[in-house]
Amino acid sequence: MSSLGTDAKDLIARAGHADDPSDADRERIRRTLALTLGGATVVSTTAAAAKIAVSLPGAGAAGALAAPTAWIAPIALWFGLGAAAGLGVVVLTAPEPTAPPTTAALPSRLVPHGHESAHRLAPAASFNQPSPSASPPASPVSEAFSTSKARRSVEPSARAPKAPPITSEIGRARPSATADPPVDSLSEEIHLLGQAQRARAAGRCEVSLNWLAQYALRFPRGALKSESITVEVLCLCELNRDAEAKARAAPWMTAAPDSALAQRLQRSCAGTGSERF
Amino acid sequence: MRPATARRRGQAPNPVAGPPSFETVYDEYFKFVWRSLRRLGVPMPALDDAVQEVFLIVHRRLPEFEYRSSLKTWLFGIALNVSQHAIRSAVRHRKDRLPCPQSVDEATPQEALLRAEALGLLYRTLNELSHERRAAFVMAELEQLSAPEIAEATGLPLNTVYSRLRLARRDFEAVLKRLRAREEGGAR
Repeated sequence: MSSLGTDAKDLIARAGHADDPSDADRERIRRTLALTLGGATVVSTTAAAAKIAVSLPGAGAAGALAAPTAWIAPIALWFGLGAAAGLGVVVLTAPEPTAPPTTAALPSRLVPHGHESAHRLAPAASFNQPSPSASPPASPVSEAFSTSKARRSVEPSARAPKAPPITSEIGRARPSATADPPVDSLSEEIHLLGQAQRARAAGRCEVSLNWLAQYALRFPRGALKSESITVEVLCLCELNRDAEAKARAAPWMTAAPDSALAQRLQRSCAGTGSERF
Repeated sequence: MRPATARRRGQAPNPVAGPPSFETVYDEYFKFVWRSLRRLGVPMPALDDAVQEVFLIVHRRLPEFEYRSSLKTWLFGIALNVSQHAIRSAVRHRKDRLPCPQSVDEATPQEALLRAEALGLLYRTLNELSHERRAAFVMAELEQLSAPEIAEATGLPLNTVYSRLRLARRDFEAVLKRLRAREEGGAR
């Protein structure tokens, strides 16, 4: 069918699949999807939300998948608290007084743009198992997304790896945003912030904001709070969300205008500068 | 046997067995979706969101999938729609100004460089095409889909697909020639 010239064909052949994603790309998106879809599941298990799910386009089959699975409830509760708060993913805003809080747990500035689609989705089966060939999760948080309980439920014969201690720590801490940090909190702070900085360096500010949301939830009074604010403000600048960046930076710039942090923020779009990258 | 497994073994998927699981689709087609979105023009900073959007739609719609088209064609149709939105959004938020990291994994640095150069030229050429012609070109020449499959993915009449493909190839070659001439002129 092709009638391309030699030069064009040669170019396509030489480029090959150089634009294929890496394993890290695959796993990063898998984790984010697990969070989003896990959040969806929790809503489907409540009576009121099930009604909403059924009323959504394409929800019939999804609802049928979710309804009879008794194992979903505890996992869904876990996911709901973690995913909804951590990512700020609100799947369905049901007018149900007994529903767990969702958006309230996370400032809207940390909700990345482009995730609105999740609000429209009907809940369905969970997606939280790493592929057998996948590299190990890059973070304790991601490990937490694929709980051993979930694996046992979905694949009874699958070997469920023992969750590292940090996973259960996160699981317990998530319900309360003001809970005391774990003993080894600094290393976890460094890890979360490092992930956010790496994502920002790669030009993926939405992903970076996701990590910062995790950080803010886990460590509302963290030792690296000022660093997280810096990354957050710069990300908001990169995303051209200048007003949010200014609002976020203002208290810090006012409180200690001569500090290194304030000077850094001053050079960004939140201050008088125009630095975005 | 799951349909995806059957397809891997060269057998036709069995519609009676139902659609493959979401996990199977993700594992088998993640690269395809990612690559297609990039080739359709979604800038790197918006790519994660776009890939997620595609798979969220797949997650919602997979139970309805009935093998009227191939899974690959169906996925490309979704990716095509998502790409249009993602590109518009990226332009609005000026995400295309952000750096574009490359994930090149080659045997030697020289090989990596040559491949990256070819990829860069390919993308610059694609960037000069209209979105419709670019999509047709990507499907036919880069993903090796047939004209009927492209018609399925886009919902266009077959004759329109053939016409668009002819124009896309013509444009691609003209742009490539121009870019080559410019590069050679700059090198002198």
